[in-house]
Amino acid sequence: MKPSFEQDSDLIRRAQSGEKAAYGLLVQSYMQPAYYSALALVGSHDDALDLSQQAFIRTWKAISRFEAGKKFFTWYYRILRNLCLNRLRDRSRHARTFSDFDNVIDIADEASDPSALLEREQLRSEVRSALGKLRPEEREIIVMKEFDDYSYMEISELLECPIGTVMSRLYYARKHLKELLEDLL
Amino acid sequence: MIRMDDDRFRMLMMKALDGELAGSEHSEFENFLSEEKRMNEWNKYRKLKEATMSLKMKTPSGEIWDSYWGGVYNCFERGFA
Repeated sequence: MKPSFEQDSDLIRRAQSGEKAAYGLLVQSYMQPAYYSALALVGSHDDALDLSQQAFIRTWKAISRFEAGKKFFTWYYRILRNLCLNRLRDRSRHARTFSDFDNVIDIADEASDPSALLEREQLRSEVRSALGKLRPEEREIIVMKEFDDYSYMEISELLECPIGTVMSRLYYARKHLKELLEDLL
Repeated sequence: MIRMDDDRFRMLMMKALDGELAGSEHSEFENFLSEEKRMNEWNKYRKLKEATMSLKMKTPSGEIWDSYWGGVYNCFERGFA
């Protein structure tokens, strides 16, 4: 169940007074969206686990500066996102390519109409590969919308940009994806 | 003028794809779709969205959630906090 703002505020107050167990409950509330958000950006299980945990350590270190009235996950996400983008930059500097996205995306449901199955499977398989070819920021916004079903307002908070920019970024990310899949659409 | 129409159509198309059209935007978007070129583009984006939505991030083994907080906590204890 999604934690409420009031529950978070209470846990943060307790964490700010040094109660690690309260912070632990906060971590447990958000570890899954944290891990999956990192996975969408970096495309590797080990990196997603490492970076999402590192981000929780950083937010703990800075918890005294957390402003009441803000959303914890929005604050946490900014730190996580920077860590992920830095890791990707390090990877590109060391010539490690991002090639394993096929291994971190799964099929969410099965087609019910057998006649459409083959065509649909081919398209899904190609979409999965194409997602790995997008820029991380493009993949991030597509995953937020299509996998996590965030509203424009929620995406705008997480990415700290106006809703108009969210729509524009979504359009260009989808356009790039469409271009990669033009023959199948 | 054409450029403005294109920008407006794209914005409405994103909203339509994501169920965020409001009020008179529905009929405005329908009007755009009377052009075959725009209807074709809309159909491609719809197909793309449907395929993308049928995917999800792979679920890791259940144990990672059991040990997740422990991993963070151990870093505190080792003095990284």
